[in-house]
Amino acid sequence: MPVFSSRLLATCLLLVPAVLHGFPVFYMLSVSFKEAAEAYQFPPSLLPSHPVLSNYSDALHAAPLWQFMLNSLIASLGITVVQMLTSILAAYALARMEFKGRKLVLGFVVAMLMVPSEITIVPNYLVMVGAGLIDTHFALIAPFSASAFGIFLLYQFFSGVPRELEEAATVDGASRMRFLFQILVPVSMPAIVAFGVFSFVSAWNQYLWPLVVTQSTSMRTVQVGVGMFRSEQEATSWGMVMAATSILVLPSIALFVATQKQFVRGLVSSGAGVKG
Amino acid sequence: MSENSADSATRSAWLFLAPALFLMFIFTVAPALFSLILSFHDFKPFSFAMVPVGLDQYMELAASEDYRASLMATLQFAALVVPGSVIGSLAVAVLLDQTPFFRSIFRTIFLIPVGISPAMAAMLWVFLFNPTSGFLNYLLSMVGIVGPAWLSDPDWAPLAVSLTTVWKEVGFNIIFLMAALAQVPVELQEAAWMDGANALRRFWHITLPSISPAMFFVTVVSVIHAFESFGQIHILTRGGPAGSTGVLVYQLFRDGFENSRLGMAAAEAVILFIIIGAVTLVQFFVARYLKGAPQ
Amino acid sequence: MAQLELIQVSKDFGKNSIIHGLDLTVEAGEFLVVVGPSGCGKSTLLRIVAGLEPVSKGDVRIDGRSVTKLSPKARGIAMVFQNYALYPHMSVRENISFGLKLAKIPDDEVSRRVTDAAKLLHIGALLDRKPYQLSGGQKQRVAMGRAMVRQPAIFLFDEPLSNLDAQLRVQMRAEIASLHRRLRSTIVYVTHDQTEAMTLADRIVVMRAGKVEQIAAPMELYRNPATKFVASFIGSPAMNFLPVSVFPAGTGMHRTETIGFRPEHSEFIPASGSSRLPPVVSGEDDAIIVGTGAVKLVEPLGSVTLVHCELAPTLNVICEYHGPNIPVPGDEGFLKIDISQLLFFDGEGLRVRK
Repeated sequence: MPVFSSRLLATCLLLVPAVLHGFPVFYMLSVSFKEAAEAYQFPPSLLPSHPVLSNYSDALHAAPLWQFMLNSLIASLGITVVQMLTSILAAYALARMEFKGRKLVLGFVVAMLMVPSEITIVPNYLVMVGAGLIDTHFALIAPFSASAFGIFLLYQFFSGVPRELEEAATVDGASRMRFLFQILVPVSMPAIVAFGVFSFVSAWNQYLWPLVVTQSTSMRTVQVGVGMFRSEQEATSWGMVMAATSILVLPSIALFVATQKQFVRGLVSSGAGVKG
Repeated sequence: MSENSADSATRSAWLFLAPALFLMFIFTVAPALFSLILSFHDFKPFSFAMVPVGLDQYMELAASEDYRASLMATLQFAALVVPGSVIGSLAVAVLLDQTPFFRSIFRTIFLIPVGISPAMAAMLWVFLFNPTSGFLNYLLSMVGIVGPAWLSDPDWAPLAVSLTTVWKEVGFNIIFLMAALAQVPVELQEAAWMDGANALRRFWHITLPSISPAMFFVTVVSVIHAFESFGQIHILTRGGPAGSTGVLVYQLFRDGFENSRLGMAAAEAVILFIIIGAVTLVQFFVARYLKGAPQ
Repeated sequence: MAQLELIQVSKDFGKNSIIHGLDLTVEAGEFLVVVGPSGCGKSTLLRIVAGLEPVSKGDVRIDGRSVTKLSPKARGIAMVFQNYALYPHMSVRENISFGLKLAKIPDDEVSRRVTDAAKLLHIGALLDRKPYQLSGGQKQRVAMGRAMVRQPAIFLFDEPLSNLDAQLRVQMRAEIASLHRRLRSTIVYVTHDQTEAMTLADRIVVMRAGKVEQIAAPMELYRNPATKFVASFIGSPAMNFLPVSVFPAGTGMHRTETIGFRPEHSEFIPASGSSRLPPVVSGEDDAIIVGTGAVKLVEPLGSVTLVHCELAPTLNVICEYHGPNIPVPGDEGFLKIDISQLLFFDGEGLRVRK
């Protein structure tokens, strides 16, 4: 069985993929601080010889980066909040109420999980165009306001909460709504937070829909905005591009590192419970 | 009397379900159905008129060289990403499983690309791929290879895009496989070791079969993600050069939103839906079978 | 404290009838225990009284007022659950005052009631703790506090002591009994433990398969069981039953198929020496001697010794032994039974009375 030396070997071998994973982020930061000329030089240097901040100010002037972040924040928060509300309500009904057609609805939710978003893009786009809602926050939020994943995740969690708890609350005089929001939700916090984080990050990382549904620069989200720095020309100021990317990717990395545990929980539940 | 309470229970249940179901219906079910209908019509963008054309658009796709190239590009992309992603993550997961030190630090490092979006991942790699100033070619030059123009060479662009995608996705698979590896009962391994099996044998005959459901799941997720990839491709190569990275979703985007052929795009969406649906169904049934199968 | 009436209450789950046409009256201030084996419907009955389960047929009345269509809150009841059902994210104080706050009772009144209940239940020091920090017995007391402060017309207890260890159970039984004496509330208490029933109840309802077998005070059930089931359920160790084939017709006893007698009304007399003769029964003893087989098991409990003997290949009885030399398995002896304590049952398990 594994001996210390083989464990040490494993650790050393792991350094290779670790470096491969970390290098692009590191290099992005490095280039963002390089002077223009140094960015182009061949062979490329690992670290800037004379670090500068000019790339960052250039980037901030080149495009409304804060606006991008604000748009992403509004859209992601909006999506997350609505998803959480609708999912909590629906999951509670499925988990705790006896009613005709319950199995049917559950099956419907599971079926929804398997629908890829591409099939809904064109019609949703047409609806937004028809309603004159292109280039609005509403357009960014609305199509994603319900989450079959959220409903299913919370349904599984709510089902595990003992029935007696709700009965005690009923005897105490609590209505269903009150029980749901004053007792069931606090008790289910870990699952709800995990879902919230996962939902927020997924919304933040969307690309195709925001690309299609926003037109003016001022409404662009972070993801689409960063793509604007991608230019075909050779004479690109790579330092500025990397600076822009650094600024825009920073919230993701910070949020991610802070909420790793919950994010992983959300990820793993999406696999373990759902597909098959 | 009992009828009453059952009815009122049903009523309040539907009230609780209403918001979610309503939204899902408007933004998922109805659009999916409408896509199907739209695929049989030529949609005139300015007048919003829909001219029924039956199966014409599907026939056009079947005959289209561009579309077939897109299919090939997608399959090639999947063939590059999926093995790389799955095998790579398995290797790292196994190594991580053997490592008692720094586990959480390693895990954070591997997970960061997962928390970054495909678009960001692309932006991180776009400079690395630069033929003259990019670090990748620099590394290659150190071992005497002249690196290609990654993003402008049709022979190499698919590989570049796959590399970026694998980099971004592997972390998720690693976490998943690590959890699966942790559940392999130690006694099985020890029994095999006492029977004289070496590490490789133990891995092949015991570990691998034990985690086969997880492996399968990870593979399918990889395949589905491959078929749905868009962001990184739009940023890295815009589907080129010469359509070498023009995967199905990109084709859909181009036809629908750059060329305004929305009916056509709907048809492509339907085809994509069928493909992904088929893969998902296969996964569903195989997973069921694997669950029941003896280890 | 209020009077509770159940009138022809029936409960069906789909095709299964759990409770059949049950009638029951609980007087104000009475401690009524509903006892029976698992699945007899006692918990369902309690939940029907609580309003957690709707009736299929029948009426529930509190102080003469029909509450069958009312929600639990509107009925003025409070319930103590088997698994305590405390709100995990709230402190003990918040748990207890939750119902009161919902009823919009002013804060100072809430505070007063909580303090009083805490004092009565000895949980004053625990008010700021969370449920996960409490032991089983403490949690049960908090659950009782939560019920108490609502000053309900009727208290409902659903097997509250099942999850506690034996010693704690004895202690809590005493506390519940003393609480009842102090508060004089109407209590409906469900349990499968006949000891709890006997010690706590003013009256006991024995249920089996959705039907009431007998309702009576504890000692009445003990002395005068209406059915063989009640006779076997009440009393520990359980009653012995002997199948009987012949009784002279015309005595009114001819329907008898089983005779029952309690271990405490029988005595084991070891066979003395080599003599195989039964011991002599004196005139005033009012007892009979039945031949025995071998001793199978002896349980010396200290105050009394229980002897299990085999009268016939499938017939084992338990009797008491008070002598100095404790028998051992394999010994032979005789069984002396007090005739005045014999009970007779017919083929359906009903009492046959002389």
